[in-house]
Amino acid sequence: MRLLYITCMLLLGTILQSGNLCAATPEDTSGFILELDISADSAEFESSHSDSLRPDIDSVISEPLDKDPVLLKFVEAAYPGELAKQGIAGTVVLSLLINGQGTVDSIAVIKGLHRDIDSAVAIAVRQFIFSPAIADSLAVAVLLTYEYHITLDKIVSTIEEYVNFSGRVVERGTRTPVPDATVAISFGDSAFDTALGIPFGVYLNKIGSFDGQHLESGKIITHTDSLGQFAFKSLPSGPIKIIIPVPGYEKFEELERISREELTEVVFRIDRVSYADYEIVVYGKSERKEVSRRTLTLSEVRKIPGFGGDAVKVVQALPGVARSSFGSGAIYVRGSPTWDSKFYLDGVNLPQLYHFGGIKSTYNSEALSSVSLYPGGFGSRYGGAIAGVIEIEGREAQRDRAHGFGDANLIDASVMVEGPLGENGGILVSARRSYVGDLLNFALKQFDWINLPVTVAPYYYDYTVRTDYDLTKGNHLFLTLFGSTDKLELVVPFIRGGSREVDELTDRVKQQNGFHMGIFGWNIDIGSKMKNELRASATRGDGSTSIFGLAKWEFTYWEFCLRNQLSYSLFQNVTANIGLDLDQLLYTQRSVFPLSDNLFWRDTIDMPFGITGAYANLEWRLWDKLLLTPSLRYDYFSELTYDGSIFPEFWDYHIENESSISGEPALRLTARYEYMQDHTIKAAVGSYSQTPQPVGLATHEKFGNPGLGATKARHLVAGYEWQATDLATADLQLYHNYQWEIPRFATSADIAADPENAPRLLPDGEGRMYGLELLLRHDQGKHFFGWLAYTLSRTERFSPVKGAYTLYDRDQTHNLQLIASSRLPREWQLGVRTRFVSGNPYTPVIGRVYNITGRSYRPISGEENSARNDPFFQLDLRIDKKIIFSTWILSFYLDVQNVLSFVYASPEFTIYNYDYTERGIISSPLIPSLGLRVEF
Amino acid sequence: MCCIRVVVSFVALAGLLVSCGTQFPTRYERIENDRLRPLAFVFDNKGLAEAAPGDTVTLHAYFTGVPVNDIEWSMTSPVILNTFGVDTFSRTGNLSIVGEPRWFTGGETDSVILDFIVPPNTIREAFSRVTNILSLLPANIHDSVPQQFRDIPVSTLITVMELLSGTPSGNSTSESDSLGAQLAAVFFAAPQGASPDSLSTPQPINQGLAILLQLFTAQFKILARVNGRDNIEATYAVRYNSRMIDKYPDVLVNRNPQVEWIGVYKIKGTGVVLFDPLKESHLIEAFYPLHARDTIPIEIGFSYFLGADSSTAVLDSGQTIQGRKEPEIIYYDWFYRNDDVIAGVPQDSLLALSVNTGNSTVQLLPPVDTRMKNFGVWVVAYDSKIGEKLRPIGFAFRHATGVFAYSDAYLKAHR
Repeated sequence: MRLLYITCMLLLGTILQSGNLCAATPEDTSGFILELDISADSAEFESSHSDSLRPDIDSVISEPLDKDPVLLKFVEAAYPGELAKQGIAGTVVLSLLINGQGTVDSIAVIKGLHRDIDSAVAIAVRQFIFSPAIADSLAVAVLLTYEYHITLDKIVSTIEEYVNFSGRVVERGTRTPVPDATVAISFGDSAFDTALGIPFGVYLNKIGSFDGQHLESGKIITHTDSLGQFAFKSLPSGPIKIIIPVPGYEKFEELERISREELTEVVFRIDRVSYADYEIVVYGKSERKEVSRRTLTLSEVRKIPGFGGDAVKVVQALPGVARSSFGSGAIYVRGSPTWDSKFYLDGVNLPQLYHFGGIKSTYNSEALSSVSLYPGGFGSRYGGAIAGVIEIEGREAQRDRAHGFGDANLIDASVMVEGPLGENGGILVSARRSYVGDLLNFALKQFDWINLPVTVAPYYYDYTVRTDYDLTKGNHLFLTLFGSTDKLELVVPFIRGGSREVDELTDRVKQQNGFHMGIFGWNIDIGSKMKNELRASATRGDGSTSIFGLAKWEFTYWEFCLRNQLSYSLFQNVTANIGLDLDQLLYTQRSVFPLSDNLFWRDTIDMPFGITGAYANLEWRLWDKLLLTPSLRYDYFSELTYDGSIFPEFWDYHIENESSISGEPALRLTARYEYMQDHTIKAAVGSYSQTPQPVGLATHEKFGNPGLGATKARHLVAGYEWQATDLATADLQLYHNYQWEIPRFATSADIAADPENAPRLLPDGEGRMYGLELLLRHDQGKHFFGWLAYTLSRTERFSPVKGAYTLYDRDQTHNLQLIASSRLPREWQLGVRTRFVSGNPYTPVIGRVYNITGRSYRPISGEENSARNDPFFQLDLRIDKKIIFSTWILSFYLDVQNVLSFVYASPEFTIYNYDYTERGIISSPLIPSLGLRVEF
Repeated sequence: MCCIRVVVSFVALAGLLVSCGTQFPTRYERIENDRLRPLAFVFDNKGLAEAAPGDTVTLHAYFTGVPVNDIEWSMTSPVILNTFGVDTFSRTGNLSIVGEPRWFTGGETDSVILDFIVPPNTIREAFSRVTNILSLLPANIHDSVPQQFRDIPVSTLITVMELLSGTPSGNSTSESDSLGAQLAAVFFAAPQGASPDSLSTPQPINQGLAILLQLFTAQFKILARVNGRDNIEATYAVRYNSRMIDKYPDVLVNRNPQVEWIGVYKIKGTGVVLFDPLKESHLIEAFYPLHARDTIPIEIGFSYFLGADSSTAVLDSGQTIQGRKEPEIIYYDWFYRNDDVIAGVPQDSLLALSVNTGNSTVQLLPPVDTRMKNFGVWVVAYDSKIGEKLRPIGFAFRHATGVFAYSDAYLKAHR
């Protein structure tokens, strides 16, 4: 409300300098009439007190009033309802004659809006009561110009605020809520809601001011909350268009019809731009402490051809891991056999990494968060391995809602469900069973020409139950129950097997092994500087193998693991970790098998095995760019009875270094120096030890050597890392491993020298491995991920016969692997994996002798591993397709291994004909795999 | 059901792809004319497959493939076996052949027969470096060794065995002979209360003696280099059993098995790959004995099996080290040859044998190329009983030839 101007028209014209109302002197006493201009807003008058509504007067009159007329009673003009729809609002300029009593004597409309409005205003104004204008102490009549601002505010203010349109925005297929999403509504027909009573724009303006929504460019806009929920208030009835633009999602538009009187509830399912990456994806740099650690995230590994989505198997595609034979399930880390590496699940020993044949890992990959490979130079957290470490980490259940999937392929089927468990917990349950054997049996029976009465029934199953609970922030518990069983039975009824003394069923091969384990984990932050990590597990396992009544093994075991690591930030740049690492295996084995003298050997092993380890290390950031991690560890091997070392050994010192305890100390040091941004050089040196392998057999009284000590190793690693971009890295490592006191089989000469007492295993084996590893890696980006891995290596064992180093079985000079996966439009994804690996060395056959009583030829071997197979080349392809439904996703995949098998036969196994005069290879076959997956 | 079949077909395809491997042009059971095939060495010691030190043994060596023109015979010193079956021996020497080998060559099977003497000191030499009898045995049967034997020197125990068996002692001394005689009188004079004189009359075997007989079994190898190129070795077990049977009738000895006949079973139905004539005699449509050039009619709609019969009259028993007696098992090795030379024809089109399971029958796959009519078959039977230490192996051998006669329907189907 502003005073526009004031003009004195009468003799006692007065200048009113304040107030919005110019008073006029009463006409009967003063004869003055002052003409004043005022303006007033009806709504404000209604809602405000008159004192505060004194008009400002900024005009000048010649005869000033002593006292302005003050509006004492305001009467609001009744807005003609029929005109509200037209939205007419504005100012009605009136000329009012205020008499000396302060009432309105006459009204003249100077400028009107609409006849009915003018009339309504006039009626209202006529009822105004002013305080008389005073001039020269007399009440005078005044003539004033009054501007009456008439608006729709009164009507608009009656619009109620209530929710009449609400819903949720979730991701199509996964039903994952989309938080903080903008939800905009535009209105296609502003005239649809005839009951609005006011113009549509006015209505929008009003509802746009409601809490939680606003008007912008003609659209009412709100945002989803953390659960993807949104609500609109008081939307007008009629058709609307909902627009939901969310980064990473396809633009969503949908028409809806709204009623002002009813609540409309909806669920909008919006499509991701790509569904290929809704798994865990880690972008950018993460702090690295280890020199050799290589970590894979689940999203990276699921679509790699050749692994069936198995995360653990994918480590075979990393540098430093030699190619293993088809179906072996072996992992040769930097040339060492599988038993020289250890496998951990959430920090405790994993008794069995793979189901038989290495088909799948025992722990369902869908329940994993990451797989880490330490091919060497690892820190003191790990012990009991002289080659590498593979640690897989289970993941927590998703807690936002219930999730699940079912997956079926030609080998097995699995299901998993997960979701919240109370306010602070989550639970994940998975189960898997194979049926490839059942399918094969069924298939064989379909063909008349195959009439072998052979029954093959291999299968495996596994299960995982993991529950997590947050006691408080920084105080987290989890419990995992995990089990696996493998069974194989091959019934050959026409076989006349061995003896029923061994097994009642002599017509079959039976193999079974399994375990059930529970893992308890507790991570707690103790203050700001200290945190503790506790892991405890108990495992019960058993197994048996029976071969046609010729041999039989049965074993049972209990394994208990306890790991506790306490971390304390001593200073800002120094963190100390101390830990305890216990692993005790109570193992019982009964076996019976034939010896070369035609007798059965019956044997029982009943003893504990395991490591009692303790370690400490410092993470010492000397300055910003240099991180040193010196560490100490001591391992006691309960199954060994030998004199351990006092000082850590980096080679065989040949000096007095023996203690009476069968254990080994270890000293390790890693260093990382970022000499310029994104460029890091690194190095590691360490001593390592493990119980002689194969465990149990190595120290067996008859087949091994009870006096064996720990096998020892020294690792040297130097490397360079370049973080080229947030997603692209290069990692180059040089390594040299030296192992000694490796158990080796006694030669014929050793045995002939003392046939009665010569141990079958001698502790003087030596090995060395050295090489170069290069990893160029592009992490999961929008469209691509992949890596190029190259290993140049040499693996040797010392030959006591030859007196020199010779090639070891898995020496693979070159190992080049390229993995790439690309996301294509329409939810297609294409992956390729190719590898070129030097052929394995082998010992040539230079002659033969027919053992006519044994009914077989015996090869005469040439120089050990003096020949090499042809290179191995393999190309695998994988195509994935997702079909997104409203609440679930259907996926298909076709994974074809060894696509070029018909072009190039890669040597997998070497075989000979019956008399060793012809040599051939069994090549990797073409293996197609088809699967489908349903997830919600 | 349809989708199951699709899946099954896919799996089958995958399985076939997986099963692909190298196919060698030569097969164990197929005799070829360009390479020597040693068939069997049959050792005969007066009807037994085993011998004692000093015995003269007749060796029948059978070969086919290329003609045998020359054989260099030798033998090894006693074999030392390690735990994993790798054998070693300290030396080789000439085989003590008695007389001249007799050659029977020029036919489809060449054979050489010779007599040789088992070195008298074989057992004593084999155990000359063994001091503790228990070291010869798996730990689990140490308890079965009578306590009274455990502290007796091995050489003395061998002396006992020699005395009991009447074997001329190679390296014994008067002291050990004396001690051995006393021990023999004490430990093996069963039944209880019998005087030492009763040793001269047949007695039931003592469990301790049964164990000792097995413990003191030795092996040596007979080596043959044929035609200056092919090396063959035969392991021959030597023990005292054959010398004991006069005194202890229930001492077990092993005889060579016998193959009395070879024939062809005609079985109802196609696709039968295994056949047990004892359990499935109802399937037999016809049986054709095979001797020399016997005709085998081949028709459509039937399966054919080669079969051999080993006389039950020479089916022996074995005895485990724990004393359990069980009949031995006879295994069969089958061989065949396509006698009609047809150039350029793949071997798959000719006669073949299917799964050789070691049974007395094996599926015979008649030629698809019906130009192939003449064939030969060989079978080697050998016995086995696991659990009896170094049990001597008995062998038998038989050869036959035949001629396929194809029915018109078969000829039409395989034209």
